[in-house]
Amino acid sequence: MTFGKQISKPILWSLVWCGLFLLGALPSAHACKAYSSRAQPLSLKDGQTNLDRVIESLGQSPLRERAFHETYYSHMLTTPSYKEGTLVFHPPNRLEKHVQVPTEESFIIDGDSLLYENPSREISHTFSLQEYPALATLIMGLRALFNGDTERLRQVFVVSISGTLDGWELVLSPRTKNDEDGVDCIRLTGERAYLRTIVIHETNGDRSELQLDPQVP
Amino acid sequence: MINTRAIPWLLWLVSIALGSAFAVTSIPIHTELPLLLPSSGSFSQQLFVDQLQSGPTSRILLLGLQGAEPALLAEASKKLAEAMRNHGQFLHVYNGEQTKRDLSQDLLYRYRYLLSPAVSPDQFTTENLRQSLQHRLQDMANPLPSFFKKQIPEDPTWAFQSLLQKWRSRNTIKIAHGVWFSSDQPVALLVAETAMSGFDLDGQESIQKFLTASMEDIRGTISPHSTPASLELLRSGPSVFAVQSRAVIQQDSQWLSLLGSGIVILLLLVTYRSFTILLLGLVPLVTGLLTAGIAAYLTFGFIHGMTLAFGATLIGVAIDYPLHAFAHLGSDRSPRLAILQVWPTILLGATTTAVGYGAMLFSGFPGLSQLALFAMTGLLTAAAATRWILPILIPPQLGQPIPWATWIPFERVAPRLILIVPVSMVLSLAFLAVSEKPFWETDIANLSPIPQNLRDRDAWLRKELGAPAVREMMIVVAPDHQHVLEQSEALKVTLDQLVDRGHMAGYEMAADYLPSIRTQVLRQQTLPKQATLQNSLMEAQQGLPFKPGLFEPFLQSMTDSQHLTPLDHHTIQDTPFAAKIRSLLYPYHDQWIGTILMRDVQNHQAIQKAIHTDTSSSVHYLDLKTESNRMVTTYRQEVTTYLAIGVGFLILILGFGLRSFRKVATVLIPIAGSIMLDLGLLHAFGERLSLFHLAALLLVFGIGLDYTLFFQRPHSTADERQQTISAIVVCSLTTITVFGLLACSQTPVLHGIGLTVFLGSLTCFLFAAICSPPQRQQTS
Repeated sequence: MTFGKQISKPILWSLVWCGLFLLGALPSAHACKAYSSRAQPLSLKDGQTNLDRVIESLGQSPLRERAFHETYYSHMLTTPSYKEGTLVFHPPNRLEKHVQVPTEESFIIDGDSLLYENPSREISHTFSLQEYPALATLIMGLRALFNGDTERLRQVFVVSISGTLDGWELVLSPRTKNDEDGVDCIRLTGERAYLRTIVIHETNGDRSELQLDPQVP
Repeated sequence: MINTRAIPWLLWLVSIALGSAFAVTSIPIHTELPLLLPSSGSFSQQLFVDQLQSGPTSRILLLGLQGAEPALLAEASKKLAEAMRNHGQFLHVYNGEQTKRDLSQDLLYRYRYLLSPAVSPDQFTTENLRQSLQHRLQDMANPLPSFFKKQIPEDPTWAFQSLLQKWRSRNTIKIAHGVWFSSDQPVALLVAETAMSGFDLDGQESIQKFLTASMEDIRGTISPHSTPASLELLRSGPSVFAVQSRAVIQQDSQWLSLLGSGIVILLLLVTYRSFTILLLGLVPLVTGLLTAGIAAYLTFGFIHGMTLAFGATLIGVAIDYPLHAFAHLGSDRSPRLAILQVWPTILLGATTTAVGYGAMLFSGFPGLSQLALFAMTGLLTAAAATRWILPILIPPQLGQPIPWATWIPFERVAPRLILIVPVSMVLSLAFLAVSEKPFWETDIANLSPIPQNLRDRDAWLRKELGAPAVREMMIVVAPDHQHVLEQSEALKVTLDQLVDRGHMAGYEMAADYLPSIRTQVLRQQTLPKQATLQNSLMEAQQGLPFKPGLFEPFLQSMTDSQHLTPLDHHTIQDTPFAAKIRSLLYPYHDQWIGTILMRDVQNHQAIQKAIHTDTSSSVHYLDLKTESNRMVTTYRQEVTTYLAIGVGFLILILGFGLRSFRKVATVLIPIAGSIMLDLGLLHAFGERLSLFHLAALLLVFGIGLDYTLFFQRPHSTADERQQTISAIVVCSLTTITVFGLLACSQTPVLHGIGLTVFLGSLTCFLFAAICSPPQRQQTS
């Protein structure tokens, strides 16, 4: 019995894993290229205008508090890990991510410091964003986006946009990439001022997909 | 004629010059505290002195940058830290910057299962492994840098992370722009430890200068136009205070003594109208000081800074000797005759004072015996110089001095005031007995010339940086470093309990970073075997989405760890983290010492009690503040004891010299009365008596003896008596001026000495005058 269990588990796992890998590998190969399948490609000039308009509308009605559902796909995992909670933005600089499921966790980013708290593990730790360039890049991007600061966004990222105002997709590629701990690109989709998803692709192929609810929970 | 008079002067000048040259070049002046203490002191006392002088807490430097935008402060902090790290005189410099992954961290990583305090056998049970894996799953999805994530397959129990946690124990400090900042103010924080002792004042002063120069560089290099002038570096820590105290005392005493000397010179010039006399007046004092210095050097091999400072003050009474003689100058009397006339009184005064101080020669405290030798030699030489050198140097004719005494109606007023002496004695005694104010200064912190706001800032920086308190620590003593580590580890249970109960916020010991070989071997032995671990891991992974085989590297490093040779003091020698260990674990004589530092101690007694009841005598709890206060109190008691013995001898000598019990009594009563009134007045002014006041009282005693002996010496004519009194007036005016100025100093020590001698010389003069036998008895 035990013998059979021990043998069958790894085989089963590897099968599942192989399947998932194949599924996951397809999109990640083109992760950082702007899709044009969902919407019409736009000319550069139009794209610029649209980008400005998208960002402007995002900045005008900034995300204040939103419920999120996050799925994390990792090369170390056979099935993705899942979290949910709320995302809060206090303009111009404070970003909060409160995880409620599966366990309580919170990330509070204020200025350039990150406070991580995990009550069940008795962790309360402040990091400097400067110590974690990849994270800093990410935060900078999100801030610029939510503040409607196109110029700042372009300083940090190569920005490409596709779709229409009613169904846009932004792809942000950091201008400086760090092999050690890098973000390959950030992909955002939405409709007008509503930011629907944030997908962060890491250089190692892992990715995190954040779905934002349209309304305050 | 001129030539023959010049020869003795030349000879004296040459010998003084040679002597000074020798003294300056060859006599070492030491300032180390242990040299003042008896070598027979207890081990714990020696440890205390050693820690106070060179312990890790004395070397801690707390720094803060303020006065600019946070981003600029952060840049300055990074630049300053870099300059300090390159300087070579710092064991380590922390400013919150992430230290780069280097070889030493790789070494720590490789040895994580032997070094990490979190490693225990039950960590590797199925249940606990499962919990670790769940936590890693959580961490993995967090926006952590990928080098953390990369470690998951090798180190799923986060053994390395908990190890790093210990190394960066100050991880609660707020970080902004990549460096530490104060939690509530825009101040960038740094903490460093100097390689040299905190009380190596010259060395520390050069560190201070280096910091100032670095700040100038930083101002120049980081955006020179936008750097505000208000950017400044706050410094604190025992060494900063020590350097500052020395500077303050030096500065204070320099300008006060310069001013004092100016006034005294003016007074002497007015009185004697002669530069020659001014120079002559210095002859005995200079000769005495130089001889005293050489005598102390020949006996002890060095002079302590304290001896020099207090000894010179005590010998100061010698400036009065030639003044007494000069008062008797006149057209009818040659200067030599004038000197011979006052000589017996000078001799009696100098010998009795010297005997008074001399009792301290036999004290077990080397500081006191050196002081006694210095003062005795100085006084006796100065007296001898007055008698034998001065007559050779003095010109045959000198003008008559201004007879101050004739302008003051001593003879009529003084005897009527006789009652003041006993009344003030009784009143002072009664006041001292009744007063509820503390008589002695028991807290030497009050003697520090460091203003309270700087001490408050030190406390603030210390709190912000989570730096260990300077006040107390534990010392573990053992024959070798492994035993120190083992005994420190044994203490951990007790210490953790103390932390849990809130008696202190935390502690730090060498064994935190480098466990004993025994502990490392024990951990190796309890690490699970590969097959066992594989099974538990397999079970723990069930239901969790980790890839099969993901933790293969974990199994491998567990096997590798079991075959590592444990790290010890020698094998880490060349790694960057050796400095940290070395500051907490080091050889001491033929033994080894481990220092346990404590943070934010709340309950001293509880800690002390726990340490004493739980362990052998190899653990010492040192409360530096209490211990240093105790030391100063012991010193004070020693001075008091030997002073009493000295007074006993002095009475004998006086009795021998004056050959009359009544005369001895009439000499001693005014002195006793004035010292008592001095004490009463000091107490009334809110002064608490310290060692320094006592030293000053020694001088008052010498001065009092001088005044009374001269007031009471028999005179053949009324003129002569007027001259004697004039001399005493000049002497006391100079003393009152010099010490009155010193009393104005802001430095508590200088102020204390100044006020004591100022009041003392005043009361001594008055009482000696009041108690002097009336003129008519002498003439009849």
